[in-house]
Amino acid sequence: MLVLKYTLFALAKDILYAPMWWYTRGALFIYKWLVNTSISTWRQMGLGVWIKNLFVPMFQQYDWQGRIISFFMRLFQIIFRFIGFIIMFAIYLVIFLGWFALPALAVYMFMQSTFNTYIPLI
Amino acid sequence: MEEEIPKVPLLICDKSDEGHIRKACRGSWMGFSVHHHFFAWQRDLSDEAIKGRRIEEIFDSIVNFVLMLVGVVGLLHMGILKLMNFYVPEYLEYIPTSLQKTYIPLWLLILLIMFVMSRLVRTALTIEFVKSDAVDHPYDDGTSWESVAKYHRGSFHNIAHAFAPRAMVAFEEAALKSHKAGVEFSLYTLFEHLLKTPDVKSILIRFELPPDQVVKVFHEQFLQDGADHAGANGAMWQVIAKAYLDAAKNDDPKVTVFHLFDACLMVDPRFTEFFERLGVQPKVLDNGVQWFRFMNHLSGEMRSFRRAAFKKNTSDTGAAMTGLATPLINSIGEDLTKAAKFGYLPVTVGRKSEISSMLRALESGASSVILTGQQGVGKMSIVEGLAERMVTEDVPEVLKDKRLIRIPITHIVSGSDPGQYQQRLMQVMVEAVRSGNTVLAFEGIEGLFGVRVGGGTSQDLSDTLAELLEKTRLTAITTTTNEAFRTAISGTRFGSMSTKLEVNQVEDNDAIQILESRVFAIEAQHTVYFTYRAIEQCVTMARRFLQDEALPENAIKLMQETAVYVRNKRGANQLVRSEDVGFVITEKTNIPTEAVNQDEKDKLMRLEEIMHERVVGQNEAVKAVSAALRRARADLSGGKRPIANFLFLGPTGVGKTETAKTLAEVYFGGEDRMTRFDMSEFQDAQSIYRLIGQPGQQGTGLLTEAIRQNPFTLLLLDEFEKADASLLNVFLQIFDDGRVTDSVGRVVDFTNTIIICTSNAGSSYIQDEVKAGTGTEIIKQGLLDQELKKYFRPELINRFDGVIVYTPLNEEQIEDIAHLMIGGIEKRLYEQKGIHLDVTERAVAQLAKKGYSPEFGARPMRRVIQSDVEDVLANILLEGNVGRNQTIVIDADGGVHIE
Repeated sequence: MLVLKYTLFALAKDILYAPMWWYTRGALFIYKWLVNTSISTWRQMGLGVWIKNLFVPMFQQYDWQGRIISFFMRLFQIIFRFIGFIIMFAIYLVIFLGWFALPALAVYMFMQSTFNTYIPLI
Repeated sequence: MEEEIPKVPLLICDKSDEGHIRKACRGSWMGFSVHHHFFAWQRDLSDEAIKGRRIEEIFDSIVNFVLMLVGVVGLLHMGILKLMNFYVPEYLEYIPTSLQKTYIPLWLLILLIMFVMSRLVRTALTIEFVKSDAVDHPYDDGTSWESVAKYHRGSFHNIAHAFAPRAMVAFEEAALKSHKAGVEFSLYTLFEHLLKTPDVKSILIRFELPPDQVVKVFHEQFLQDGADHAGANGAMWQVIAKAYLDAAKNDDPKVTVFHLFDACLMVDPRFTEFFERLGVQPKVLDNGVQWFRFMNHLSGEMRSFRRAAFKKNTSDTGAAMTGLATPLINSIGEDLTKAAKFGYLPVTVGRKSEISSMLRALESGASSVILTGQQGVGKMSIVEGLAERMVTEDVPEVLKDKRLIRIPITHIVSGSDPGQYQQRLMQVMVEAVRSGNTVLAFEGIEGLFGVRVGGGTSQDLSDTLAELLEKTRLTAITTTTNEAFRTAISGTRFGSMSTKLEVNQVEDNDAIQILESRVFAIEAQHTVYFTYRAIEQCVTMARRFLQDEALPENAIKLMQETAVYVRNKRGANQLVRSEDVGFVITEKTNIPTEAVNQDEKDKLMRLEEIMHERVVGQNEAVKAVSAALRRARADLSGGKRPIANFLFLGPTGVGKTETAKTLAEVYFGGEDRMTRFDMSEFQDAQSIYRLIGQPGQQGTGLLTEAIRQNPFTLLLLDEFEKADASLLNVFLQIFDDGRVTDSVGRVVDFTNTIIICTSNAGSSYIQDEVKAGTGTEIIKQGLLDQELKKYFRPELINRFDGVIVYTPLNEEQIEDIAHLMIGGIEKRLYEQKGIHLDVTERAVAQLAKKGYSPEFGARPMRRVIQSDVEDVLANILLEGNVGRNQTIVIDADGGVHIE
């Protein structure tokens, strides 16, 4: 009985609990993941440092030519790095939204293909 | 333990008969509140729960594995079929239809995989770390579970989640064991299981205790039937709470076995007593446990350092490409920030205050910081500590996103032409300035001083450096020795523009911690294991006997040498004991090991007995010396003065020097461990320079050099009264502080010496008074009151631990001395030639009579023995009339025959 309680019963309980977790605590978890990963990508791209140094010449070229070239170089860098960040962020966002959509979709599609019934979504 | 630690106010849940806890506790077995948080143990400890959890763990991993396998294989299977259908449909004919038709629907597979993933995530999320909120003192904010539940609305922090796996296993094993034995879960069962963990075993091994034996003895003492365990359950929960709070206070992420073990020792003094009976003193035990806790903490810090270091950009140009590449600096210097980032630098332990004062100086605009300190004191490790801080960017704004480069001075001043040096220095500096993100570290900056580009009054290299630092935004950190700073740097342009930071020798305890942080690397390299005492001994011995360098460097070197020594002598996987450190010290310094290792107390207790084997008569002197030595050692074991200092007074040839030799033998392990100065050679004021060195010239002081090279010695100063008065002032300081500064500013340590000054002052007074039959005490008083005042100032006399008066010898004592001397000849003759010597009693008496002189004591005796015994023996030996194992008999009136 003890063995059953901690194996099969526990598993059954878990199967019932999993969907509930997915949309409550699990949602919180994936939200935190989205925020943390986005922040660390932002840092990895060095965006903050590049924006902060926008008017600082690159490679210590403190003459006016250097300043102008550096400004535009940095602007380009910032723009391209920002685009890179947006792309990464979009991927994260898809994963984040997928977290909510995928189980529901899976159940829906499974039902449809197994029982061959068309259930209108709207 | 050092201070009485207050009990944590705990709320312990009552249990029903079946071992279940009450509903009102909301699943908590124990709880305490800190700063408006309630911390509770919420892991069921009933037999069933523990066993169930173990089954569940295994079952869960099997289920996860199987489901994941089904999901992945199913997807692959389906994918392959689809692919084949798309590219080469005709091949599908070769695959049996049953295999084509049996598949799990795609969306079910996806659901399966998501289910396993959610299980894994949920397991990972239950792992928690110690909450740093728990640092404050716990307080009592509820008398019952009901009130606590109401106030905190059931949101308790579960401390069980913060227990490291090994700690949890030991804890639950202990719970199971108590259930099985049918007793209440007590502190003692917990402690027994902690003793069985690999963590505690490794501590026990460091104390040279066999772990299995310790467990056995512990069980016999604490867990035999009928042992008194009242209140031990409450104490057990105290341990759990203490361990958790302690981990929080120490900023450790998890509660480990070490925290539990330490908490046990804190809660119940009987455990400390138990170890004391096994020969481990409480202080030593505590230090050893702290060692492992410290290492555990350090490895946690290393992990977070690695994570932070990952983000540091160590390219020449910095994270935002503001800097300029530095090819020259890269070729001759060493990038310390890069080395720190990739973990090539040893961890800097402690030194927080030095690093923060350096940062303060840099933040307030200093362009140059100079670290001064004795060789080996750890100046460079402070610079490396700064590099580590720069990697994690835990530094003021001026140092953020910068690189720290070490430039060896030798790379600047190599070659034949000083002009080249200057050029190279300029190139390096200019490149550093232009790069805009380089901080330079020069080790041994004194190498730049006194190097002149042209002749005469042309510019010094250090001035070039100072000028560049003043004019640019460059920051430089330099190191030098105290001595070099005083002689070469202070007063120069560079010296006055730099912020000086003195680095002092670390305290013994800090040095031990530094050694502890290095010991595992050394152990891994040489496959030996250090006991805690050996590490401690390394520090004590290094401080006492290896004074050319400072702690911790000398101790680290000693530790390394000891590891090699043990490895070579006894092979791999051996324990390094404290005696081994003593042996290495003996080999390095010639200080006899027995003298180093033997218990000092034992020597002191038997001092009179040992001394009388060599010193004849002088009962009162011997007694006084022994007593004074014991007194001095009992008072001042702190070692801020010489071991003892004595003034021996008395006529010549009465045993003053003999006493000193005997002391050297007893205390330092050999007659030759005596440094002797005849103070009659230091009679003018100028001779002080011979004693402590010519100003500015290293190694010229006779006394200071002798003691520096041989700090563990007996210093004998003959004819002390003849020295010049200015010298006596130097000795005044030595007697008082146990140290003196030599002419180049090095502190010479006298705390391991016994200083004996002998003097003939007042000899005739002593002889007259003894003849008149006056007692020794009265003679001594007379000397102190009148005779000595002619030679010494009262404050000098007061500094002596004892003023010892030697009385002239009488005839009887001279006869004893004759016996001792002849005994010495007998021994030598037998050892070298194998020939026995027998001097008859009558002959000895005659010799004694002949050699006795009231004025010169035992001095003439030696001459008499020379002429009447040694000369005779020489003649016989040269004639060759005597063979091995024969006996030469010397009788009265010069009669000699051979037997």
